Amino acid sequence: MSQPDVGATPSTAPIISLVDLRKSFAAHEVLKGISADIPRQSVTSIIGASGSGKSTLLRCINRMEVPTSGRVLLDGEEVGFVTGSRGERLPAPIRVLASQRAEMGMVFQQFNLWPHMTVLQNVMEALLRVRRTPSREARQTAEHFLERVGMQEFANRYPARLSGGQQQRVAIARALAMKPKVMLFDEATSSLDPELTNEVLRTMQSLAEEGMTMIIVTHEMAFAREVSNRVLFLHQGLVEADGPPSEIFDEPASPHLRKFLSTVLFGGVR
Amino acid sequence: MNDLASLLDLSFAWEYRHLLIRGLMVNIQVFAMSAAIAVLLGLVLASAMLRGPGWSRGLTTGFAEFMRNIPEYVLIIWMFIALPFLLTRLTGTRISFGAMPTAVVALGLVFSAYFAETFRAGFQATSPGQTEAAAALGMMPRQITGRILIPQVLLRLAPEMLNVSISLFKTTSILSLIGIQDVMYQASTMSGQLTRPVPIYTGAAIMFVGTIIIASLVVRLITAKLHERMN
Repeated sequence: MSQPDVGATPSTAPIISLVDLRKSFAAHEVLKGISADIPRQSVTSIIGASGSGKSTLLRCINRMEVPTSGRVLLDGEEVGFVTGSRGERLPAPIRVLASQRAEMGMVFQQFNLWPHMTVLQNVMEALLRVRRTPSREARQTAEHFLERVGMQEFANRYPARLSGGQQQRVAIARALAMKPKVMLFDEATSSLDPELTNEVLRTMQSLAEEGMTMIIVTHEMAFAREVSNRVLFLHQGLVEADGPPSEIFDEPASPHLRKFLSTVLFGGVR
Repeated sequence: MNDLASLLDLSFAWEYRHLLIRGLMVNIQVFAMSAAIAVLLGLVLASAMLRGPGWSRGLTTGFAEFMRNIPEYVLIIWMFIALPFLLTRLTGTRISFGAMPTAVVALGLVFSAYFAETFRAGFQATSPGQTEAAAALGMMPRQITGRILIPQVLLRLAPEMLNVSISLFKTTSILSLIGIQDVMYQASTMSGQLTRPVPIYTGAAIMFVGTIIIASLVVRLITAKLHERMN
């Protein structure tokens, strides 16, 4: 139960540490003890067959799913828990959890833009309500990040008037505007038509090139290979393989990984 | 034939329109105040039904069930006559309630149950992703409810809310029974004095139906505009 020593060397300490993370839904154990460190400015892709637990793992990081046991550390601080006056581990009040979540941007498969707000309002909302940014400044920040994803012209549209790819880019801008320490992508392109996938992948790639720390759950193997520094292959709730893309894709040691790779098609990015 | 024409002569109602309109204003006033109570309380009840602890779910569901099954007239009379009597006995001081506040509270309570049921269905129909996106950005549950869920639920449920509101407005027609000077009170007073029930009660009916049709058209127009943007 020792806290990692983050004070001494903050730049090299992992931004996220997963410690023996487990998650069960009723009797079904989806995650069976996952430990991993995510370094700063790294891009980690999580791959695996459907049902391998990859989305659940990502959702446990910001506590969209509550892990059954184990710990998630964000910058050395345990997500969802606080330390009591006698050093005991206490469930965090929702306010603390909310402020921890604000440090992690999440992009969902279904975009989840709010349909009753314009694109600009979608991006400004959390700045106004969570960060308490004055509205002028929030607007500038929102416009900046919309420009970043190439959506500035659509600031006053409603989400229903946008294509899926455009909606997802707005969702990315909405998460980026909070200036998160890490971005979590949960199958961000899985519900997009193939011709709309690339615009989202390009946006993600440019974020990676800027040094954003990213954890990406994806089915896009070519993208994972090209953009990530590291790939985790999940199999039946455990990390079956963990290494740089060259190792994972070119010299897969695990038979499960070889079988998985033989069933997925390699598509091209761009 | 001539007799029938004079019986139905609506110019008579037109002549006394100011009295009927004065009555209608009272109906609208009671409607507006009790609708405000019903909507706010309905939202609270719906959130308690969906997200509250076990006991609050049971309590609110029971409350809503009771309110949906008690006739409005019985509740109004009970609150207007029985409740002050009971409270006077219990406290030893004379307590009485004004007719207007009693009517507003009673109708607010009854219709909060209908609104609660509507809102509950609406909240359940909202995709969990909407809440998750807000929670992932660090919004607090209250902010999520107020900024993300309620606006969507209100827009989506506009047609059902309009129906409940129409029932509420129609129910305000029983207020004369506790002496509130609404349309029906004015109509019955006039018809008693002028012995011309046909045009007067026809006039009263037209006022109710006309008000509801005009208000419905306005609401439908506004929601159609909003929906157009969202869909």
